Amino acid sequence: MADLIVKGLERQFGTFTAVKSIDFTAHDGEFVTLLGPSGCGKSTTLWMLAGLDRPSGGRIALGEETIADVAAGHYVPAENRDFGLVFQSYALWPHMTVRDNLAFPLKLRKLDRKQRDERIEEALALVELVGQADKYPFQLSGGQQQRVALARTLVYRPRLLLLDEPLSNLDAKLRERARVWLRDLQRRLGVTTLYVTHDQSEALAMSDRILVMREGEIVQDATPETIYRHPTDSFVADFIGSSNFLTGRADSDCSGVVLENGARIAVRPPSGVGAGAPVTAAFRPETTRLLADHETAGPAETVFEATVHLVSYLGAHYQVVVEVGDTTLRVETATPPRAGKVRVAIPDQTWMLFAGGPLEARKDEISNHAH
Amino acid sequence: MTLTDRAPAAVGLSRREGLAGGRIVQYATLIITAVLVLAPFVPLLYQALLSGPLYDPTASLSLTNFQKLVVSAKFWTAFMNALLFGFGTALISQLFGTVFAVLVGRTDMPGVKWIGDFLIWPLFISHLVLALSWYTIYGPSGYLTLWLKGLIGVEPWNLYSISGMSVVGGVAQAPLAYLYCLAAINAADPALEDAARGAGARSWTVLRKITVPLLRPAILYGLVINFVIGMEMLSIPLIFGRAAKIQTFSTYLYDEALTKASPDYGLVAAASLVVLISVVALLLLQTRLVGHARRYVTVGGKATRPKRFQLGRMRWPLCIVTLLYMFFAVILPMGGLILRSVTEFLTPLVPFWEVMTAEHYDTLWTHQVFLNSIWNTLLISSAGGVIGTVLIVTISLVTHRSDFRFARHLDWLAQIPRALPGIFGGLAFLYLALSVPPIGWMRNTVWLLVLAYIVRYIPTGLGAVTPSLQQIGADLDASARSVGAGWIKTCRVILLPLLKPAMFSCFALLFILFMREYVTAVFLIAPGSEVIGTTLLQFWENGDNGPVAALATVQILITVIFVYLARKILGVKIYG
Repeated sequence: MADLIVKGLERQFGTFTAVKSIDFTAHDGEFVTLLGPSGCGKSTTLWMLAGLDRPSGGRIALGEETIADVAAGHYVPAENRDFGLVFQSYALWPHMTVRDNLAFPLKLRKLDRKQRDERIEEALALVELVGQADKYPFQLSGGQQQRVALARTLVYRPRLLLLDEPLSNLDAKLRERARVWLRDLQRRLGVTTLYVTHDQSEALAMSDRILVMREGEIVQDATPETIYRHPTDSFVADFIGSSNFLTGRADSDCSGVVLENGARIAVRPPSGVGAGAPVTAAFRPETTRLLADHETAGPAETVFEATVHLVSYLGAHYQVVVEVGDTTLRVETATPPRAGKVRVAIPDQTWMLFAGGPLEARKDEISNHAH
Repeated sequence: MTLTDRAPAAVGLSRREGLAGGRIVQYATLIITAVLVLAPFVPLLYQALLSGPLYDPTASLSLTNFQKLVVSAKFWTAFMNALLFGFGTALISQLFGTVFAVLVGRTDMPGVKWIGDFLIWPLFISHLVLALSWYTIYGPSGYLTLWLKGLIGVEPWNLYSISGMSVVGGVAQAPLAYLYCLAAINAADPALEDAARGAGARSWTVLRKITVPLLRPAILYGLVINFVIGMEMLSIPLIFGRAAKIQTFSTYLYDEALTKASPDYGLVAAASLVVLISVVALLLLQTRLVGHARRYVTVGGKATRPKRFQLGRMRWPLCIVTLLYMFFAVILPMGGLILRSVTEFLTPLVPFWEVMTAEHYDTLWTHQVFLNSIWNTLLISSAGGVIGTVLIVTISLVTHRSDFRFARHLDWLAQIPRALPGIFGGLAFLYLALSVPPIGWMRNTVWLLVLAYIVRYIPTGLGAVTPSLQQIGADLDASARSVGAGWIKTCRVILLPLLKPAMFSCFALLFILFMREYVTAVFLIAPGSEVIGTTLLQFWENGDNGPVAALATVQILITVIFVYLARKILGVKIYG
């Protein structure tokens, strides 16, 4: 198979631009996830790849073969692409049995009955649904329907597998199992896969690479580890995992950051930030620890004097909301903290620093998108 | 090779299908619809602007027809009469419709289900038959009229007046008003009533302050529609208005075009344009009015079954009043008409069993014109129903389920007949037949009628098909496209099987509408292409009331049997 190459892909609805000239490549056999809040353009992108939505600009190619090229007026309709799309709603045809659902794409490809039956058995075995072929979709559970939808796509060996939030209608427990199972299946088949989700943990768990999208643009294109540890900006840091944000300024020799609450972080601000320029500093709740009474902080740690405001027991750990001055921060500990004054230590290497001022305005925007 | 092998693309099961098939169907649908809907206009419009008849080579473009119309007192009287009759029809039908909708939809009146089913029956039967049956019982020499006159010495009522006609019109149109209100009642969020109850309102207050006010858009809609229908109605003004020399729009056009020795086709064309413009104006007004009705949007969660109002002591009295309405408005007149078909005459002075006869039915079976009418009506209803359903379903698929560039234009085209009065459609096709020779040839067959009927009822049919189509998730066809099916294949394998119930409903609806249709036909029939409605009119005008009653009875029987079978066997919902 070949690489999927997307160049300058764009989609406009009237004056609104849903997808703003994005570029990316999915390599042969790779599992690439489009991740972002709703309305970020990830589903539109997927539908353009599937051929169910016509791009307003740009180019899509699979290896040497051009699938769509707006400038050249070239467009291969959905039915001629040989891609497979699994819908969020599964879109199983309700008047056909599982077998008929799977047979339809094979009949279109003029396979004879014997070949069809072999393929169907094989695909059902792959999704662990042997013996369910003669049931109607409504007789199956949600999880089974989801696997039939996948089987219907795999049965004709698509050149590219497109998945549109396929797990979002499953309950939490089943979703976690399906995640592992689906990823494993994809590795075995080696089919290049594009996966759309707004669920960051799904994206982190399954992907070879994640494209984080926001307002029609790709804001970061990297492996799950890089995205989590080194987000390119505060939006990514906030959307993937959870982060505490503080504001400050680069100090005079640009060797560290002085926060508004007076504390100093001994980490160099991002390159290009001049002395005294605003900097946003972020850290993740799970990287912190609460210091014991007479314990002193390590040399490479920043320490905040804080007041415990609220403690929530989450099973694996405690989530503690503390107040540092008039800023509220979330931290995690393995043991229950005592009430009152505590000291919070944040290791230097876990700080994420971004050029620019406070995030408040942007955070509102993000939560608006998420709901 | 198994699925887990890495399959090179070349060995994959790729397939290529041209777009051509789908596009051809889509363009063909657009062109056929455009021709069917727009073509009939052209000759009529042209005739209206021509100083002489279409076939007269010396005729020239002019506004003479409109000038003649403006100064025609006869036309303006007819215009005023039509307005009054439309107004009366709308008012009376809405009154009955609203009351029955509330009783059936929201109260614990005994027998609501049965009564609710019965109330829509008059919709299945043509106005003409209803008018004839009222004539038999309540006309000047009607059974009940004579009986009461014998009792009290004076004629109790006079149907040969605008108010009398309005009562008949109101009864004929009440089912439609009832259906609009009932739909609104069923769509209303019961939480709105529960909230009022929770706030301490008693049932009667809730009904008065919440339930009925929420019906305002439906009432308004029903009023305008029934006003328009009344204005353009032919049967009732023809049967009751003529003797009293009361002309409305339709009877004016009817008399001018059909009963004059040398009809002034220019004048008729101009008059029918005035009718058309009035109707379009009213419908636009209605769209505006209802468009402003946002505050009545009641769509909400429907998790709870609405609680029915307890009528208490009024349960049985209200039920009896409803049953009396049903008896006097529908059962008695229909029964009278059927009885008339098996008696030599029907009068309270002679017991009917002494004058029983089969001669009217003998007349039906032995006269070619009656047999022709029955056969033609059945043929048009079945064949037209099938052809119409195919066209309507295709239009719906192209407009709602294709990426056809002109999908919206097609939708717009297909909705045009909604604004065309039935009598206008008939006239338009008449002019088309007069001016285009090949179509003139069709005039001696039933196929011109089939075309005219289909055009008239495209919007109605779409109303039965499109909501069902919209309930089929768009993902179902998108997924068929993505696994490799072209548009035609997707429609055939995925959408059409899922649309089957809607297609049956559409066919049943068209069958019934074609069965009762006569207004479009009066201008188009020729010897050999008669339908039941036109024959009824023709023989009624000759005074042959016996065979007319027998023919009407046949039509009622066919309709009742068809509706019963369609519901039982096909499980079809008609006016659901």
